Parts: sequence; structure tokens; C-alpha cells
Amino acid sequence: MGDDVTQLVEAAGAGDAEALRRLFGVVYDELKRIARRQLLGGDNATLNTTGLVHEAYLKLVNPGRLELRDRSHFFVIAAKAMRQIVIDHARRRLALKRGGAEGSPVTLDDDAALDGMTPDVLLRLDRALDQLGGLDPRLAELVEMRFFAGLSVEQIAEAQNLTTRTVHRDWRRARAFLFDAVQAAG
Amino acid sequence: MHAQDWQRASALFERALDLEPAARAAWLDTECADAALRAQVERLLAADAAADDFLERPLSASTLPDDVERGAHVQAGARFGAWRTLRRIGAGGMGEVWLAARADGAFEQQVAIKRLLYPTTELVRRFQHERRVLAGLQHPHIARLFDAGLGEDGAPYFVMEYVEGELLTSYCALHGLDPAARIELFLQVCDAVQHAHRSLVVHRDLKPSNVLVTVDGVAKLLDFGIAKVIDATADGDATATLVQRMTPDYAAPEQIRGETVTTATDVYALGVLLHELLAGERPYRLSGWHADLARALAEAKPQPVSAAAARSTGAERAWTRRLRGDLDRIVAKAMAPEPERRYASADALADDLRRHLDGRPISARGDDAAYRVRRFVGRHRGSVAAAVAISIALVAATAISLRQAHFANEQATRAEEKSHTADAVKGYLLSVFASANPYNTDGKVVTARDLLEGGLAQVDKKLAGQPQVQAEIYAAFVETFMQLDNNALGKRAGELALAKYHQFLPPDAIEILKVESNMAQADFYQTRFDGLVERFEALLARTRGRTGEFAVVRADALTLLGMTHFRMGHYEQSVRSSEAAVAQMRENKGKPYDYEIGIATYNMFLARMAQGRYADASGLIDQFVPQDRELVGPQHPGLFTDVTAIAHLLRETGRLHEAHALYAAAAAARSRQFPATHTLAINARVYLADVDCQLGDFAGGEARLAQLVETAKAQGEEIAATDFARLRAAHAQCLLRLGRIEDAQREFASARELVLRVSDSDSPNVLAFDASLADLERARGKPEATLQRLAPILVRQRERSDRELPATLLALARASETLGKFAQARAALEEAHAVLDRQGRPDSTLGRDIELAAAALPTDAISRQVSAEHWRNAARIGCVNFGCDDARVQDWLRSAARSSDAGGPNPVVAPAGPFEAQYALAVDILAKADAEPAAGRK
Repeated sequence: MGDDVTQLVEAAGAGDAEALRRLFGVVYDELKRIARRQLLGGDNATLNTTGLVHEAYLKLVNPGRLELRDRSHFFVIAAKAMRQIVIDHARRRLALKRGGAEGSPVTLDDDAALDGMTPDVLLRLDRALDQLGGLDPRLAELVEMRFFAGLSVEQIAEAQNLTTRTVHRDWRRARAFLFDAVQAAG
Repeated sequence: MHAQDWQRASALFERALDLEPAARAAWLDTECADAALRAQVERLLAADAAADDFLERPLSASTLPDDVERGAHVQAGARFGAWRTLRRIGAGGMGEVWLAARADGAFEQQVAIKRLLYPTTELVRRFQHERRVLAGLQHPHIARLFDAGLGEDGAPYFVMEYVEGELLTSYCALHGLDPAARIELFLQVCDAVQHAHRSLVVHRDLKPSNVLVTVDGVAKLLDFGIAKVIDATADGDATATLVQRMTPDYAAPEQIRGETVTTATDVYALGVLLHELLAGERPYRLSGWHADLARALAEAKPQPVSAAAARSTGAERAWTRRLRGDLDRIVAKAMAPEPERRYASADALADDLRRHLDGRPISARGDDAAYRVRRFVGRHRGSVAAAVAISIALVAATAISLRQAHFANEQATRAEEKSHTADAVKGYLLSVFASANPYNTDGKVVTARDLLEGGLAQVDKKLAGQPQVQAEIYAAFVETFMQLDNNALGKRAGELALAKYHQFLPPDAIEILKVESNMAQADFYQTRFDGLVERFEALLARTRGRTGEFAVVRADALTLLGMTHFRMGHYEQSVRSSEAAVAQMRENKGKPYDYEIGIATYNMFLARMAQGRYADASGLIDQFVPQDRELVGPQHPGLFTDVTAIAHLLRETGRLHEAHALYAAAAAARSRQFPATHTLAINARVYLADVDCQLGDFAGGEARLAQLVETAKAQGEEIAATDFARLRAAHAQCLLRLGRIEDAQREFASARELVLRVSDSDSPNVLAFDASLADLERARGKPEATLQRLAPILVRQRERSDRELPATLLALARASETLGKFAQARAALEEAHAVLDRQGRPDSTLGRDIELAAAALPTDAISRQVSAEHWRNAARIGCVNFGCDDARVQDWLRSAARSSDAGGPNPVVAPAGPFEAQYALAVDILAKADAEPAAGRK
């Protein structure tokens, strides 16, 4: 398994679209699996997205074989996969809330979700992120890596081939745009 | 908005950020002619100001799990993970049980799926907390928990082993079993309970309907620990209905009163179960649930089981004679109203039962596990919870052993009286420990230390006039304190124990030797090495040629001696002592390997690494890592130490990325298993940061190391001097890469001073620091001072084939080069290269530095061809260290191309590393540690 995914990453990094698609699927599955396990098993039952992404990395890839550049590429994919997982989840919750599941009364206060990130807000964020991606794809990727995958500024700088200083400034721009867009949609 | 507009607007936004808010408006006036553009910029600025910590923290799972709602009912054919339900086989107050088979049609395997019907968020949280512990319970008499999860509706479900059988009580009645046979069955239950208690899991709901017996006569316990998950210790109406779930007939008084539930609670339930098995009826018949219940239970004395049997219709008269006496006493003790008066453990209860079956007097067998259990706090010190649980076992075992042959001469009455007192003390201590158990305090670690100190004083008071008993308990305390990482208190207890022992024992009595050994160990952990070697050697002398427990003390002393020599820098002696320890332990234990033998082997590995004998070190890996895997579960902390050991080897030989991956995994595991301030957790992060630095992330690595230095400082005495020294040395190396000479000076000097606490100024570690400090002189522009100071160091290191010789030679070469002594520089570099080769680490970071130093020698010193070769060598090593695509490697290849008269960069192939197999081994260990608990089925 380790070698397959390693090759996928290398190929995807070299521009192979099919490899990229397959890689995304593999990473997505693995992240979900680890996330579920973390949720059920840990002492604190909190999901450490950074840890999760690195766990997936260690699990899927043969670390000694990947160059730094490809490792970054993996993390970019993982960040996108995390975003997808989270957004899918938010959609399901929202559906439930609207009485989607038959016969199950809604009892809990979904709005009092933590970190201010109700499913509602998450979906708006997703749309805003799409918008941002249309204007500046690199910024959208930055947000995916930072917020959904919890990667460090250094890792992001490495992945995008920038200085950390630039990453900091980019982050500020992205955040302002997103905040504005999310507020406006609400 | 168009992309272009965005670029302009966001660029202006960025620049505006650099201005004071007040100045922005004016600035925008000048920059922004376009009103629409200006509006966009202002929006961004407003958003930035209002955003607070929007998105600042990465997403955490609190947003991820499904909200939990009232459980919808499930139909047959519903999916739970890999399973599909077949039919419902039970329903209770809080859930229902379904028979299920694999959804993919592999029909042979069937499981029971238990679904909780009324989940709440709090419940789910507890469920998640407990799941891993429960899934780890593997025992032939415990219905296995295979998996657990949250259903689509968010209700927790458990996938359990499906057990087909009769209720324990029905089985016994149906098969007409006599008391002995019933007791045999019951012993299986005790075994299971004891196993779970060892993992700190309390059942809380032991009763006949939770024990099934299969057609083969195998008892299986159900619902282990699940009761804890749904126990009503939380407040709230939603859980009120759950309280009634608890069967009052089997509930211990403290449970009914809502007090803390401990392993003693399970012992009570076992007592009730035993009573019912033997008498054919329950000890109390309580109708319903009322406020007086608790009081009633505390005051009520159940009828002796023999009387109950005599009265009940379910038992035959012949039995009652057998039941009278011992069995009455056993059941009564198990069901004592106060927890501390009961049997200390399910094992203790089982022991007494076995004695009864054997016809022996029911004084429990003491195993004197006191000394043998977990002597070595060496490799990993374990959590407080585990330590406290072990302490219970230790003190209990010790106190019970008082009835042993040691004092067999005592009259029966004296023994009774003594055991009663010891029971009292033991009982007090047990309740002390039980309340300190984090599982009962919701994870808050009570300062067991204060409680134990109080306990020490109690022993003095309550047992005055019984020096033997006092001595035994003090001796048990020595180890208890050490398990809790409190070596100072351990020593105090040891002194008290010795004072008592000397009153009535000869100086070479085993009890005295054991305490002395423990105290020497405590000194080791406090890094008080003065005269320590001599003390261990004295213990060796006093145990020479003796067998049994003396041989065990001998083995311990040898192991500790190995560790002491290592810390002091006497590596060859360390290896020899550890080797002797391994031999002694093999002889003592009659087996080739166990965890303690592994520790001694690991110590040999460390010593060989320190000597730079990497091939030997590599060979030793194969003598403990594969064996450790056979021995312990995949999550065991010791395996992460093994992974770290392999990582060290990889780092030393230059495989930096691999080393990094292993260190990262080990650090993550350590931070899950230990508090962040624990030595082991700190060490793991030190190794990781050090490799980060070697990989080129100087700033990041240095920052992390600086922070770790602060953390370590705050720990004071808790961090061993040598560990702290290693941390500071790593920090210094990284600072050097950043060119921060004076900071590096400070760190090297500190490290040196730390190491001087445990070894003398001639030891390898001190010399290494001397050399580093000398090298700094060159950086300050005083290369002559460097040469002078290096000279005597070189002599000593050459004499001893010191591992650090190549590093010193590199420093010599650099200083020589600065002074224009190129021939001298070249010679030093060549010698350094040769030594590295011999040590088996030519591709290390040091090897690379040496090649780079050689390549940088001016052209009148070496030919361009030779220079090019050195560049290529550096590039080749860089391939091993960083990977061939690394920019630095490309740089060096270009330098080689410039130097070489034959044009063009030469292709560089990264050679296969010498320790591939061991790296693969480490990766496999990590992968298995990652696997789900249901790995058995994978």
C-alpha cells in the first residue's frame, strides 16, 4: 500500500490527472477512517486535524521515498479531502435538522455548536471558498491547508513554494475575503 | 468580482494594513481613484477588523460527530458497520441486543450488537472515552468487544462476541452441580474480573444475567464496562431512568449511595453472586427502590450462606455442612459493607476459594509480587493511574504475605490479630489508593503523594509494637513511591524499613537486600551517582553464588550497574554489566526473553551507539525489537522506545527523512501516552527537533529546541542531567547552524556542566563538549586557541577510539584551514573520513560536513579533480540525507561540475542504506500501532 500511494503522489505531482483523482479517493477514505477511529477511541475524543492528516500520511505513503515537494503535494490533497469530508458532514447534519430523517424529532440545540462553526456556517464557508478559488486558487488552497487540515505555516510555505511571510500575508487576505463573504450570505 | 479586480483590491488591502487605521482613509484617497475599487478595499479592511479569531484555529472534531437524537428503532437487516442485523435477541431498560452477521455474506461469524436507546451527548462522550479501554479487554471469560461505533442516528452501539449459553444460575441448577463444581465455574468469573481490574475497568453490574455458560462449560462475562459508560453519575433528568437500570440486589452500598465505585464494588457483587450460587437464593430480597435502601443495606447483615442454603428449597441439606465455616467466611468477607473490609481483589477472593477446595486453611497465598512487579521504572514510567493500581496490588500482596511461612511460627491467634491489623492498614491504604485512581476522579490526578505520606504515619501509629509488619509495609512503600516517581519519599520509606528490619533480621537477609537495591535504584533516578557503582557492586558481592530471590536482586543490580556506567560514560563496562544482567536473568527466569531482559539488551544497544559501534548496535536491535513485539500489545509505550532506537540508528547513518518520520510518530505516540512535561515526551520532541535542524529547518528546529529547554528547566530535578544535557547540546548544534555563536557557547557550557554532575572531566561526553567549545573560538576569530585546546582532546579520543573523534578532527581541520595550514587540514579530514567509515556512518551529517570542508579547501591545496570528487561525495551523502532533488544537492553537483575538468554534472545514485530492514521493522510497528482494535479480524 505504501508504495502504491507513493507512486500516485509522485504521478499526481507530475501532472497525471487520473493519478490525482485516485489519490484523492484513497486519501479521502483513509482520513475518514482515521477520523472515526479518533473520535471513538481517544481520551478526549477531539479530532486533531493536523495529527489526522499526518497519520494518514504515515499510513499511506512510504515516507523515505517521497521528496519534500511530493510530501507537500500529499498534504494539499489531504486538505482538500478533509474539506470535502467536513462539508459532506455538515450537509447531512443540516438535512437532519430540517427533519430529513423520518420520525425523529429534533431535540438538541444544533445552533449551539462549538467554535461558532454550525453546519450552516460551514456550508457558507464552503461556497465562499469556491468563490475565492475562482479569484485566486492558491489562496483557497491555503485556507484548506490551514483550516481544514491544520497544517503549519511552514508546511504551507513549503507546499506553495513561498516564504512564511508571504503565507502570513496571504492568510490575512483570504480570511478577510471569507469573513466578508460568509457574513454577507447570512 | 473579477480575478484582476481581486488582485488589485487585495494588494491595496495588504498595503493598507501596514498603515495606522487613522491614516488609511487619506492614503486610500491618493491611491484609489475608482470608487468601486475603494469600496472593495474598505470591505476587506472592515472584515479584517471584525474577524476576530474566525478560522484561526484548525477545525476540531467537536463540530464533526453527529448530534445525537432519540434513537429510532432499528429493523432487522439494518447495517452497523460491517454487520447486518438478523433478529433481536434481547431488550432491556437502556438498550436492545441484536444478533448480527457480516453484511458481506460471510455467514459463519455472528455477533451480538448492543444498541443504546437513549443516548445523550454526555453519554456519547463517555462512550468515546471508554471504547478503547473496553476493546482492549481480551480474556477467555469475557465476551469480547470487537468494535463499537455511532450509528447513523448517532446512538452508540457495541459489537460483541455472541455467546450462546445459559445464565450461570440456571446452568448450575439444570446440571445439578454441587458446590465444588459451582465454585469452579465461579472461579472463571473471578479470573475475568481480575483481568479487567488490571486494566482498570470495573464492571459495576455483575449479576447472574451477565454471566452466561456455554455448552462446553465455559463462563463468559457480558457487558463489561459498558455499565460504566451509562452509569448515572452525571446529573440531569435524562439520565434518571438509567439509574433504575442498576439492579439493586447486587449493588454495593457505596454504589447505592452514589459514592465512588471501585474494584471493591465488583468484589461485593462477586460475593452476592457466590452467595446466590451456593445458597440458591439471593442474600437480600429487596423490593423496589426506596430512600431507606442504602441505610438498610449498610446495616443489614445477610444470613450466612450456609443458613440460607439450609432454608432455601434450591439446595440440598448435605451441602450446608460443607458450606458452614470457611465458605460462610469467604462470602461474608466479599460482601462486607465497607469496601476496605472486603477482599482486596477478585484474585484474593479466588485464592481463598481455591484454598478451600484444596482443603487448605484459607489464608490466602501471598505471591510476594511486591518485589517482582514492575521493578524497572527505567524505560517508561507509566501513568499515575497504572502506578496507583499497581500500588494497590503491591501493598495488598505484601500485607497478605504476612501470613506466610516467614512467620509461620506464630500462634494462630497472634496471626489472626496481626492479619486483622494489617487488614486494617491495608484497607485504609486501599481506600486511599482507590480514591486516587483517576478513573474514579474523572481523570484528575489526586496527589497520591500526600495520601501516601499520611499512610506512612498511619503505619507507625496503628502498628506500633509489630516491627515485622511495619517493616513489610515500609518495604512495600519504597516501591510504591518509586512507581509514582517520588524517589525521595521512596528512600525515606526505605530507611524506615531498614531500621525495622535490622531489629530482627541478619544483615544479608533477602528483605534487607531488596530494600537496599530499591534505594540504590532511587538514587540512580535522582542522579546521585556518588558511590553508586560501589553500592551495586557490594550488592553483587553479597548475592554471589546465591539462588532464588537473591539471584533476582543480583540481576537487578547488574542491570542498574549497566545503566549507571552508561550515564557516567563508561561504555565498555556498561555493556559488560548489561550482558551479565541478561545472562543472569535468563538463568533466573528460565526463558530467553522477557521485558526486563529486553531493557538490559536495550541498554547494551545504547552503549554501543555511544561508542560509535553502529554495526554492533544494529545487531542488538534484532535482539530486542522483534522480541518486544511478541511480548506486548501494539500500543505499548516500550515499542515506541524501540522505534526511537531504530530512528537513532538511521539518524546517525544519515537517513534523515526516515529518522524524521519515525521520530515524529514516536513523538506523537508519546504525547498521547505521557504528559507533555514527562521526560520521555520531552526527549521524543528533542530528537524530532534535532533532526528538523539537520534537515535544514534551522529556524524551526531551534525554536522548538529553545522551547523544550524552557520546558525542561521548569521540571527541575525531574529531568535527568544527561537527558537535559543532550537537549542543550542539540540546541547548541542548531544555534551554530544559525551562526549564533554566543548562544551556542552558553548551551554547550550548560550541557558540559550538567554532564560533569554525573561523570568526571575525562569522560567522553565532557571531552566532546570541550571540543565543541574549542571550535567556537575559531568562529570568534581565534583559530590558534582552537588548535591549542583541541590537542589534548585529540590525544585522549584517539587512545580510546572515542566516537566523537571525527567531529573533533573536523574542528581541527577548520581551524587549520583558517590558519592556512592546508596540509594539516587535509590530513585531519582524511583521518576523520576513515574513522567514520570504520564506525559505519560515512553518510551521516558529519560525513557530509567533512566532504564539504574538504571541497572548500583552496585550489592550491588540492587539485580541482579532487575538489570535484568531494563535491560529488557531499552530493551523494546529501541524496541519502535529503533526497536527490533537494536544492542543496543540486548546488553541490553544480559545484562539482564547475570544479571538474570533465564537463557536466555526473548522475548521482543514492545507495541503498545499510539499515533498510530495521527501518521497515519500525514502520511496521507504527502501522500496527495504528490499527483498529478489531485488528484481530483483519
